[in-house]
Amino acid sequence: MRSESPRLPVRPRAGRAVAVPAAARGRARRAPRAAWSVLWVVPALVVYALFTLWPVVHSFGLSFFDWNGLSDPEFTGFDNYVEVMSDDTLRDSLWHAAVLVVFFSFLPVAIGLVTVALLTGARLRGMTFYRSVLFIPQIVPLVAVGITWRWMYSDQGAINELLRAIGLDALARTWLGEPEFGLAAVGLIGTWIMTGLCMMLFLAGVGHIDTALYEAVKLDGAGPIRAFFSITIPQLRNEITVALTITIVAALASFDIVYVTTNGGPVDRTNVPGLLIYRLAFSRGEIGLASALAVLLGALILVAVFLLNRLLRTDDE
Amino acid sequence: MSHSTRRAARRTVVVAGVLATALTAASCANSTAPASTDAGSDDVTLRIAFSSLPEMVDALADAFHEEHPNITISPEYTAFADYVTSIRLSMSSDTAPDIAQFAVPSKDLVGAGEQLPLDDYAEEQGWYDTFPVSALEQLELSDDGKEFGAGSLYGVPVALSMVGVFYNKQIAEDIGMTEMPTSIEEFESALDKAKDAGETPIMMGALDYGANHVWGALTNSFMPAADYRDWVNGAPGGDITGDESLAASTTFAEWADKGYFNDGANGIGAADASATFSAGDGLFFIGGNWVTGALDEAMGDNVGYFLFPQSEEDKPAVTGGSSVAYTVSARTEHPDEVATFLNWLSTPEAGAIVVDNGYLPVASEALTDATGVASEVSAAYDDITAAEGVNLFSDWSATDQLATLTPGVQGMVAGETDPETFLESIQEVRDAYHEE
Repeated sequence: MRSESPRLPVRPRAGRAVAVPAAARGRARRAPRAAWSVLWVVPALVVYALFTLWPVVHSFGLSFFDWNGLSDPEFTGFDNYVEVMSDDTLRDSLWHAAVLVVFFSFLPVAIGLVTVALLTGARLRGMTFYRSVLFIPQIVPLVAVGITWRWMYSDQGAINELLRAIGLDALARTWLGEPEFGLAAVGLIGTWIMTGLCMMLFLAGVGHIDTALYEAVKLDGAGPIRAFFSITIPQLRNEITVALTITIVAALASFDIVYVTTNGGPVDRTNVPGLLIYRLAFSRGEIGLASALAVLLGALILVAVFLLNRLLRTDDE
Repeated sequence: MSHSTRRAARRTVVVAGVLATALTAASCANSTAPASTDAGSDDVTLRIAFSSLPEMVDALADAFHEEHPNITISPEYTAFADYVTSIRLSMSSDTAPDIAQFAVPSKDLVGAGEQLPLDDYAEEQGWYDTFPVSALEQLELSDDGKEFGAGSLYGVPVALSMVGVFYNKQIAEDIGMTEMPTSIEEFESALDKAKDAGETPIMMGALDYGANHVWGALTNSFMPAADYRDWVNGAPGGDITGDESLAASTTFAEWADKGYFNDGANGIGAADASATFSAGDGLFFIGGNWVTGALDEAMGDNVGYFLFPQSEEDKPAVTGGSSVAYTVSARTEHPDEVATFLNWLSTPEAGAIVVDNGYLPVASEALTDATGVASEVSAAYDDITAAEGVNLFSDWSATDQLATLTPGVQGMVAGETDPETFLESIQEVRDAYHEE
């Protein structure tokens, strides 16, 4: 369960996920050498098994025990799972994660698609520059991002200054500090981070669409909007799947941004499972309960990714 | 979390100087290494694991080594967030450090028998005369590690902290506050005047622990000190839902309602709030003495300090405070040398180093050189030490109390949580912790 480890950045997963199709193709071509390749994989596999697979299995085992990390673990069966499901704070955190999916995933994908549609066909000078700028949020460490946004959201921060400058004083507020707005404010940081990634994916995808398709629909009398829905979106299905997968996992397993900006506040409105797992394990010393929540979160992520890939699977797979 | 604990464990191993990735390799290496003591050799190295004030610890280690050339203190710094997550494992491992900074997990370690009781050393070397008693009481723990002020002594403080009120002298003059408020009424009247004058009465950061200190100041002021101590220390029957504490929390909620706190207090942290205060916004800032240096630098003569007034005139001074303190591993092979070091922490030489790092020293004579607001802080500190009036911060009442306390205080700031419900919720967390 990666979500348990606060410092693990979300991004490396992006790289891995994108790399999958290429690796799959390579394997198909070089089938005869498969036996040999197993040997080359062994060192990486050992490390992976030791530091990723084993902790997952170990956490699963621990989720059935009451253990504070020091004393002897006591077997308690499904008690931890029952507690996760019946504790309001823990249950709310799963709901908050679901809300974050909208901000981390749906919004960036939608914004990315619209922007790409607007850019399609247009020849912009300095495209490389824009791409770099759009990708910056992916490169900046999340802790720095969080602290910067915390300042921007504060009473005298950039956002309120902007609102006041255009006469919307009534809207100015401490965004992270108000129970009604905290979660949305945190979510929008996620939107900012993820939008660039989605756009990059889609821009790369659009480059591979055969321009003849656009000419064909044009001849059939379709306008740009029709072309977007009939050509761009279906042709980008693979990229959309990848983008949704990465961003949904990032939303459900979010930790860093919340930890740095609100730490679950105000009034518990931005608690997310990743944060509570960390607190349960390391502040309260409830390793078993934390493991149970981590197992549930991991299962939720697996189910979400599985459903997504089923739903958007392309025909040639 | 095993993913993380494994990483944490690994880090400890690396800190121990063993460049092996597997835990087994590390423990093998350790078990075959001969103990460096005994056998005529007097040279001893003591490892100290800590998370606060690395520069201070380096200076203390050097100064101590100069006086005791046969004892080397080897500092092993870990940032706070990682320290509290890894200390359980490192203190219960074969490579446990000799000395470890006291932190919430230390309570569990006492319960697990990993901490060395220091009562014999305390008696032999007279620690109850040389260290502030109220600070030592915060390091006495029952055998299960849950109740403070009972059982054995498990550590000594090196640097102390306490909460008080910093005020902006210019704003105070502008609103006609010529004397320090000595009662809640006078304090509230100053708040009211500041509000009328368009100033922020109290600058506060409620996003993290900042507002807890404001609420804590009121609670310490209203509650009889012994009652609060019973509650926070975990004594049987300790209760925070009574009339006095309810009055304190109600006052806090009223202050929020009257606009005595900065707008959007829930959206900024304590550090940002003290920075805003130092830039001239806010009549009062209620917080720990650790900001003294920064405020002195930014505000110079314009900042003053006093202890938060008590609810009744004859109530002795009391405030929230804690210490950076060191405990000893039950696994150490050099308990006598460790005790020599701990005892040395009460000397003026150690105190001078602590003062240089912006904290209050064990030996108050080290404070005589203080100037500006620091001298006001040390005067208040003398009063509070004389009255033995330092109470633990409320989040020590249960290992996970902060997770309930902070949102509750935020709720009162936002006008969402009523004081009675809030007090019941933190009482519940505390009772659940002691029932486990």
